[in-house]
Amino acid sequence: MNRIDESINLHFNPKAFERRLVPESHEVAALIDSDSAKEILKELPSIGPVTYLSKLGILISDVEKDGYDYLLEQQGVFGIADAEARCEMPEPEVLESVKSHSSRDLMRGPTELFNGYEGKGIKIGVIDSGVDSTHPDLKGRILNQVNCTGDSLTGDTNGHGTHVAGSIIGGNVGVASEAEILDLRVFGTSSGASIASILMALDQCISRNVDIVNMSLGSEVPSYVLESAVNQVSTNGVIVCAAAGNSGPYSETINSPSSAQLAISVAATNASKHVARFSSRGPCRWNSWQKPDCAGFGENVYSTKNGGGYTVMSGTSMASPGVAGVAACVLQYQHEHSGSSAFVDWLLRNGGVPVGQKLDEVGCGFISLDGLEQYVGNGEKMSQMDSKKKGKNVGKRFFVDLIKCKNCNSPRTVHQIRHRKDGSLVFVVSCRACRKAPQDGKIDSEEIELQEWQHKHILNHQIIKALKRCGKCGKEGLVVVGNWEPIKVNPGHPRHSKAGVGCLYCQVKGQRKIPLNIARLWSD
Amino acid sequence: MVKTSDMTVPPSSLFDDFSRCLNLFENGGSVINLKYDSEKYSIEDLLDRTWVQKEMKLLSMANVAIPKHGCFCLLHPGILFWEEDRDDVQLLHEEE
Repeated sequence: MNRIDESINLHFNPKAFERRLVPESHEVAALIDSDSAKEILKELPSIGPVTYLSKLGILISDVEKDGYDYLLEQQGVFGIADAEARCEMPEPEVLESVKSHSSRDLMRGPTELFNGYEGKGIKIGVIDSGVDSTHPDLKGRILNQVNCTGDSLTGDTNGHGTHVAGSIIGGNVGVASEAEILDLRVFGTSSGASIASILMALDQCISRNVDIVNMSLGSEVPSYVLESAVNQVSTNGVIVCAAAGNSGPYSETINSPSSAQLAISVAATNASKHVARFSSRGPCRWNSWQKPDCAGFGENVYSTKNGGGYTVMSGTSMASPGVAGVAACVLQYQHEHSGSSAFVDWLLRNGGVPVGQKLDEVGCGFISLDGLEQYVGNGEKMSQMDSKKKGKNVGKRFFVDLIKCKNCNSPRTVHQIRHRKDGSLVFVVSCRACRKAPQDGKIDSEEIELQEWQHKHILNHQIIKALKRCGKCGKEGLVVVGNWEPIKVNPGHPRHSKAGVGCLYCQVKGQRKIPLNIARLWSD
Repeated sequence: MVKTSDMTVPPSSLFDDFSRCLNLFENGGSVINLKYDSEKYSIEDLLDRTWVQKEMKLLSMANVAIPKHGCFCLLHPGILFWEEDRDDVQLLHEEE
C-alpha cells in the first residue's frame, strides 16, 4: 500500500472504533489496479452502492471496518483516502483593484500644501456626452451647457459625462470640488461624435476662456485637423487633458486627439497605481510624440451617476478627469502665487510619481496632489528630480520650453562661443530678432560662463546650437550639439529633426526628436 | 491616389493636393473640416458661404459641405489643410 490517509486510518482505528467515537461506516475512495478491479468490486463488503471510476481507477464506497480491512489487504489497492473529507474553500479575498475608490481618494492624497485648494475660480471645459446638472453633487457648479451636436436633446445622453464631471468637481468624489465646469456636449443619440462637433467645442473653450479642457474621448484613426485644433487651444494657455485610449495592452495604441503634441495624454492605473490592462500604450503610431504623458486613477472609479446617486466605471476616460482636477487645484495655487499655467502643464508631463513602469505605459508616472507638492512653491526642489527618483526613463525627458528673450520673448540661441585660456567657455546668448536689429549698434545679449569641468564631456561636439533648461537638474545648461539629422517617420508624415543633447551641469546626454520648425529656429 | 481617410497630415505636394480633390470630386463631394489662413483671408474669400455649416473662427477652422463642383476650391492657397469629417470618435470607458 503506497498511501493511506491519516484521517481515514483514525476512523478505523480499533480503539476509536471500540469507543464509538466515530460512526461505524465511512465513505472511502481507493485507488485500485484496473486488473484487480473486477474482483475487488465483487468481493468488497460494502454497505451501499459502489462507484467505480474506470478511467481514473478509483473506487468509492461506504464501508465498515471489515470493508476497510479488506481493502488494506488487497495488493491491487494502491491507496485509500477519506471520501467524506471536505476541501474548505477560503473566503473570497476582496482584491484591492476590485474595490472602488473615488478620484478624490487617490489623486489628492495626504497633501498639506494643497490642503484647501479645491480649484476655486478655475473653469474646466468638459467635452463629453453632457452632464446631469441636477445631480446634488454637481449642482451649482456647472457654468453653462453648450450643445455642439445640433440636436435638440439636453442633459447627459449616456451617463459618461456625469461620471467624468463628478471626478472633477463632485462635492464628495471630485478632486477639485470648488472648480466650475463648462458642459460641452458632442455626443448625441448615435454612438460616435463627429470631428466637427469637437472642433466647435474647442472653439467654445477659447471663446469662454476656460483654463483646462478634459477630453475623455478618442479614435484609433488619427485626425490631423483635430490634433491641430488641440495644439492651438493649448498654445492659448489652456491645459488640455485627453484620455490615452483603451486599446491596451498593445504598444503604439494611443488614440487621437490624445496623440496631439501639446495634449496631456493620460493613461489609466488601478488603485494600486499599476497600469490598467486596457490602457493604451505609447509611443504614438502616426507621429513621433512620446505618449502617454502621465497616468491617473482609472479602474473601478466611483463617481456621480446620471439621474442621481453614484456608480463605478473604468477607462482612461475616468483617469483624465482626475488629472484635470489635480491641474485645477495646482492652477489655483499658481494663480494665488503669481505662477503660470505653463508650469502646471510642465508638471503634468514631468512631475508624476514613478510607479516602476515603462514610459510607454504611464509616462512620467502617477499624478496626484501630494506627489506634486515637492515641485510647487520651492524652486530648489526642482533639482531633486534625479534619475533615481524619477525612474530610468525620465533622464531622457527634457524641459520643452526654450529660454526666451526678455525683450521680445523669442527663443534665445548661442551665437558666439569664446574660449578662455583657463579652459572655461563663455556662451554669448541672444535671440534672432535682437541680433537682426541691434540697438545703438549693440546686440542685447547675455554671457554665460562655463568652467572647464562643465563642458568637458561635450568637447567632441563643437557645434552648439541652442541652450535650454535641463529637465533633470533644472539649470539652463542643456545644449543641443551636433548637426541636425532630418528623419522621416513615415511617408506623408511630418518631418522632424533628431538632435544630440547634453547638459553642461548634470552631464545627462541623449537624443531628442525636435519638430522641424523649432529646429530651424535653433539652427540659425 | 491618396485616400482621404488615410490622410493624417496635410499633403506636401501639389500633386497630392490635386489627387485628393479629384478623389473628392469622384465621390460627388463630401463634408469636410478645413483650416484656413485667417490672417489673409476670410472664409467667404475661399468658398461659397452657403456651403459653410459651422465656422470656428477662433480656431480658423470650418465645417463645410462641399458640393461636387466645389471640390477644386480646396486647392486655394488660403486653405492650409483639410480632411473629411467623420463621426467615429468614441467615449473611452470600458463596457461592463
